[in-house]
Amino acid sequence: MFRVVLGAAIACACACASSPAAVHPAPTAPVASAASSSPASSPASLLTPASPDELRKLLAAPGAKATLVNVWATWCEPCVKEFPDVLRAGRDAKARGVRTMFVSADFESERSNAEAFLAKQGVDFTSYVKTGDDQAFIDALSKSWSGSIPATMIYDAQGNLRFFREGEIDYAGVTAALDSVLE
Amino acid sequence: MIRSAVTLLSIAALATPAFADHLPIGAKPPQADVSMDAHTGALVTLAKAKGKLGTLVIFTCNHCPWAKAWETRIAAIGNAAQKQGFGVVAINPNDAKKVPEDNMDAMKVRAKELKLEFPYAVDATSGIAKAFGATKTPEVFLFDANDKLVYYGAIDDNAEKPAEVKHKFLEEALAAVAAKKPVPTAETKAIGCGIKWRDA
Repeated sequence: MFRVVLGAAIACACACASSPAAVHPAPTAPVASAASSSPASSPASLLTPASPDELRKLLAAPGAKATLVNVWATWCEPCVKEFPDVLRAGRDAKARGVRTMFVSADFESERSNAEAFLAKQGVDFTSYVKTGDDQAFIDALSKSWSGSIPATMIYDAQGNLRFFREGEIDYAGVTAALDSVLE
Repeated sequence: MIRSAVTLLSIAALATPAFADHLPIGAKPPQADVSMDAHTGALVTLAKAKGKLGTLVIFTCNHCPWAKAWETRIAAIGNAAQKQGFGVVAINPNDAKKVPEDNMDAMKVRAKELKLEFPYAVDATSGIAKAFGATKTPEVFLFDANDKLVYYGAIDDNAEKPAEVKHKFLEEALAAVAAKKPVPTAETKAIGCGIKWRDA
């Protein structure tokens, strides 16, 4: 896996980012090491490139009663805003067999920003970044999805889509949707 | 019991589609007589903008990184299509109160920078985008000379790297319409920024 280290100027070009400083890499502050007790906490594994086929396999991988997927990007203001809620809802449901997968739609040139954001949010498990064709990526997650982000999906243990939301969601929304899928 | 009721209500709310299906292939442009302010200072409607070959409607905006990644291609394709005989209108459906970068002053600056030869207009209620079932920027709808939707979707298949584009979906669709041939790929998808809807 190769990693692109980008110039800081590209990082927060989007005026809509609610907190541009929050997504800048912080070379002097090794935020990722805060969770270094977990083997999945290295920056590389925080953001693993995944093709559409790999994503489909991950969704159907054994070991979870449901998989919560949130597609986000560092420049997407509503994504950044809802991120803590989705993360918390997923964590609170982990004991009920819910696996959480964040999938970044960031451009390749923005991946180090995305990693810094994940670390700052305290994500200490593997998350993913889309690779390859947009259309195959979109259809792999949901045929009903137009490609607008943020988007949140919940799949059952077999990887079948059971809940789909295009647009913003909050803690209560994710929890209610998980309740309905886990019933 | 109260919790169950709340949960049920939440699920009911969630079950309501957060988006409308986009206009189906073959449909006519909705709200074609609604006037929009364009960056030129003129008022534009989709009906008036129609060209002899058809009409290209591009929902886009200033702030979205995906729209920015495609904007020089949108300008080039739109300018060429207009010269060729298509009516071309770029429409910004976002609420500028939510995204100040999408206000008309900023749109005028962007239109000048991009040397747009077609109107970049404001969907003042976001109602045109809703009627089209648009969900994001950028998103393209191409109508033929008979006002039938013949292409919906993306500009091409690689926003980030123009040099690595394999399928120029929109240009292929425009060429097909100009040649009175069927559009090779009528619907495509790409990632984009959810429209920042005006509050009702």
